[in-house]
Amino acid sequence: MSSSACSPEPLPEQLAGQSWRLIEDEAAPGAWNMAVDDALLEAARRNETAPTLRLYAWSRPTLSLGRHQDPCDGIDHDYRKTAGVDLVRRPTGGRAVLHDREVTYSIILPAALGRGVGVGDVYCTLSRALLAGLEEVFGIRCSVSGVRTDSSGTPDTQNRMSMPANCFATAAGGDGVLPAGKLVGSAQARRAGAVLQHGSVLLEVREELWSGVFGAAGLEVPLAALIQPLPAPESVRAALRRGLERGVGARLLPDQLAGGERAEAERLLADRYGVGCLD
Amino acid sequence: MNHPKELRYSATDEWVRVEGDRATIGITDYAQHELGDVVYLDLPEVGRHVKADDLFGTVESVKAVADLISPLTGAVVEANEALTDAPEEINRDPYGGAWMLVLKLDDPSEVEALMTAEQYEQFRLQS
Repeated sequence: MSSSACSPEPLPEQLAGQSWRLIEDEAAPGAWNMAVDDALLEAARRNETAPTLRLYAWSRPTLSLGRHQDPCDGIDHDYRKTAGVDLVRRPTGGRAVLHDREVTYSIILPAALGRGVGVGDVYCTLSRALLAGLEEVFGIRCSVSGVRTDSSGTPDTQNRMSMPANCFATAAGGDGVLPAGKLVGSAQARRAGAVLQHGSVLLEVREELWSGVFGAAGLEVPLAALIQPLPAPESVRAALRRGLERGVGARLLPDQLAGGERAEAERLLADRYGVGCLD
Repeated sequence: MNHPKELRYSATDEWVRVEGDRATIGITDYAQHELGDVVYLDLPEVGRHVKADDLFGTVESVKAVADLISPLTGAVVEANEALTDAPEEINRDPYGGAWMLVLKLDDPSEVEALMTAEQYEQFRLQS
């Protein structure tokens, strides 16, 4: 597992002292969670939202696929359905995440802030801040896994296409990794400069469920394997908030979806993320 | 960074080459560099009508997916299917082999609203 020093350039200065929206949601179905994040990204594309940290949970275990991931490759759907795991597609890239016992975040940056800032720099800035929060509160020192931003080499498309289906089976850019494996998975979507970054902090891993869905265990290392007693989800949320406050100077102001954002999420739920689209 | 003088550019980092009422579109060298290694490309079907500022496809790198925004309004008359099979060409040759689609423009004068190479370079320096 490799890691690299990251040296983001303009983003920390642009974010310093910004007022952020803090949206803390209760558990909801996967399709609604993704529709809300997509609606927030669309608002960010139009510069109609401040930077936003959304913390949320899943009402049922849910497998989220990357935006272009083949749903039939490397996933046992018979097992998944029998085990009661829902299926949804994320607006972000990357590989599949099994959302079971975790704390989930999304960060949305408006186009005015994200435009001109590369994928790697966004990961370095945001992931490093969030991981610093986990270190400060729980004493767990993760590093941000490397991001290739230099495209001078020849990309190996074939290798990528044959990557494991499980996001937590490999470490890629922006993930939170330890020598023992991977605690935080992350993925991004960009829309005309606006940024949506997803992340999952594993609390516990039900090995039978993960192995059943993916056919084999990955590199998952949940908090439960690192500290006891296992922190409550609210403590993990607090650590992530702390990380953003200290790491990028965010002033987090509690908020909720605006009326227009909720209407857009309901439209996207019906058109793009509705139940039955993938099953 | 390389921005050919004969092309026009959008604020969302697409380039346009106009010949009569046809416009060839791709993403800029800056955009491909920002994304990193491209591994997937999704383009619209020939015949679809797109409006300026509409999403017309997506491009995915190893850890991020980016929406492609049409800088102009028109009907898709060609899409580079070979590029969807070899999306890494976007990193190698963004202004050549990595053209994405050709639009038959509804209103060729729309092009005048796009940036020149010099203006795009200034825009990139300021953003």
